[in-house]
Amino acid sequence: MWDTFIIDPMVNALLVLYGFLGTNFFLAIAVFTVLIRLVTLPLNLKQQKAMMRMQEMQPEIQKIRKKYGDNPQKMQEEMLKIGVTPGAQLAGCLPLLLQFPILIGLYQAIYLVLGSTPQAMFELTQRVYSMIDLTQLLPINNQFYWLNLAQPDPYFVLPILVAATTFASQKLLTAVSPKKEEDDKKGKEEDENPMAGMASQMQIMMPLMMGFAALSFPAGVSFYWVLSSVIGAAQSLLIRLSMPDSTQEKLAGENPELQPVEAEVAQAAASSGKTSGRRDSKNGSRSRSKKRSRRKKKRSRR
Amino acid sequence: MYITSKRRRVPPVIIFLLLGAFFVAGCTQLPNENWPGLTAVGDTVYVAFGQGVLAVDVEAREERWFFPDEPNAALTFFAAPSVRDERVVFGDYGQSGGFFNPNTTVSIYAFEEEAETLLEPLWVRTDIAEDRIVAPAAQSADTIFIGTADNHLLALDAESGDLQWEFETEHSIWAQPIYHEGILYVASLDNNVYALDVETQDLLWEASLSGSVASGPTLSGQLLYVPSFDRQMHALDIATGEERWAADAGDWVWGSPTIGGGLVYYGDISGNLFAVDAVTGELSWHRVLEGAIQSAPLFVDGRLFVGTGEIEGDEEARTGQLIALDAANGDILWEQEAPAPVFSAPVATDENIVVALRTAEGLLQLLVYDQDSGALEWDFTPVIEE
Repeated sequence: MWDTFIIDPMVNALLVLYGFLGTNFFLAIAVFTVLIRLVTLPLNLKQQKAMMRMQEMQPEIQKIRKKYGDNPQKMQEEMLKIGVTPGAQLAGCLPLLLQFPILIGLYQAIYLVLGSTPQAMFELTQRVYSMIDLTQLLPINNQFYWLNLAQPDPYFVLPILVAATTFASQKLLTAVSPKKEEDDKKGKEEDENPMAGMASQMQIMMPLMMGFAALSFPAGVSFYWVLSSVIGAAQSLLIRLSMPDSTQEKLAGENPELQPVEAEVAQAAASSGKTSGRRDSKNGSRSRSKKRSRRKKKRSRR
Repeated sequence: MYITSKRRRVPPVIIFLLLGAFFVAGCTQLPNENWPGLTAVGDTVYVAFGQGVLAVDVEAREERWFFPDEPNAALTFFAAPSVRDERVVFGDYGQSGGFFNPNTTVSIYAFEEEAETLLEPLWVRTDIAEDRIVAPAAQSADTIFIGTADNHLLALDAESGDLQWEFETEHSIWAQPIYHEGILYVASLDNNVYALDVETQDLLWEASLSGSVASGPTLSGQLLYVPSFDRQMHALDIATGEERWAADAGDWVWGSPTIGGGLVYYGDISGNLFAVDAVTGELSWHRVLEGAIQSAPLFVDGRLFVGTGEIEGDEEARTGQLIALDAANGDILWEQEAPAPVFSAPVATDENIVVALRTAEGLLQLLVYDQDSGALEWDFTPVIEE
């Protein structure tokens, strides 16, 4: 299953690209990376937006936590009311997690395509689709400047780039507000928001882990990761820039309207009620009038 | 989901452990399965496989020596050992420098053999090859010639291991070079065959084929027979490199050809076995066997011994065969099932035919058959893992 749906298509795609791109395997990996990013773009966009929506709702979430900190069940109920589910909280990690099967598949595909050993070459013959004339493509040129794409980078350039671009990509994906950064510095972050704490740990741990792993990656795989991270970072940046100013302000923690707990909860509930945070912030005054009317109804029942 | 403060630090750790495990598990299960490299001299077979190299006296039914003394999981051996005048030469796939060191150390070893043991190494060179040793070495009286996957042919002093000269090709060298009367013939994955004057290191000629050459050519008379991935067997004039004839195959010709009784025998990876006239290249007979023929056929006293291996179906359940044929007409004399594909060329001792397999469990298995009847005489599984 893994071989048929992951490895074999990757192997054949790399071979086709290698043939089309003047037998330059480096270019083949670059175009392959862009294609993979395009294929996963809809999912990435959806998840990035979901994550940003979660960031928008952080003030509301914090208020609920403060208020119901000693009553987890009630806190969970309130969170669900405003549309905060465990799945939504982890949404930002998913694009990254999705990269892992691709990375592992690519690791194996590059190993096979470069045919570094007789065993890999023999295995390759069994995986190539009949429309590809492997004989004409061999031997695959595995050199690119100082790099042997089938071997780790001996000068540590790619591992450093892997760590740096992963950090940049993560940082932009989960970009935090100035207020939140202040809180981080004061150590408030984890106490008040364990999920945000986890995200900030991920921002450090993931680049380190990937950088260390890249020490033993074939250079071709490291290059894929670097390019993929750069594209991911650019994508995050573009999404942010394409947002209306009001949403950006809210993400930056500067919305003056966020005051009483109940108001926040209600506002968040309104914004998450199958509408985007963006639309909600645009219609802030309408939301507040609805809240007022709800309060009046409550009073009249009493 | 909304957990208490004491448990807040646990999720990241768990996630990273899971990711790490997932990553390591996925990345280390590479589709690389090392099959053994096999050589025979007299009654002794020399096998390179997985973590070591060993010599087995087939007639005495005993292991003579094993290298290294302690198996090293970081090492992999593939190239069949080269043996001449009790000097044993082989190389490895390279040893990683460790997690923080991306450099690989590839070693070439030369040992002297004495009756039952392998003496201290004559020399070990760890600084002249940058990529795997896939090709078996060739030896003259005083020089060792060995190809590397970093595109070099190295000529080393047999006594000291000193590098005498080197020749660079355009891609990896997996084929054993041939030394004959002062000329070295080298085939490379770069589709070329080179003839070098060993004395002057001059390139005498270079022949370009349409496909890579993964196994060593065979020299007979004035012709060099070269197997190629271009689905042909080529006969080159050893004086000029000019192609005398090219005989067709159905698929890649991976294994070296074998010469006997005026015919050239070769197989392809689709299971076609061919016998063509050594002088003209004219087809004498053709037979289709089950599985792939990945290695050289073996010619002994008018019989041909061919190893085959299944290439489809569940990898762990794939089997192979050793088939004996009448070399004159291709009639099958006997065939024996093997528990795993026979991708290493069979070798002959005085009385027996020996094949080496990589079992489904990743172990080395030596099977010793009677040449005449095909009866299995000895089944030996030394403790040496992939």
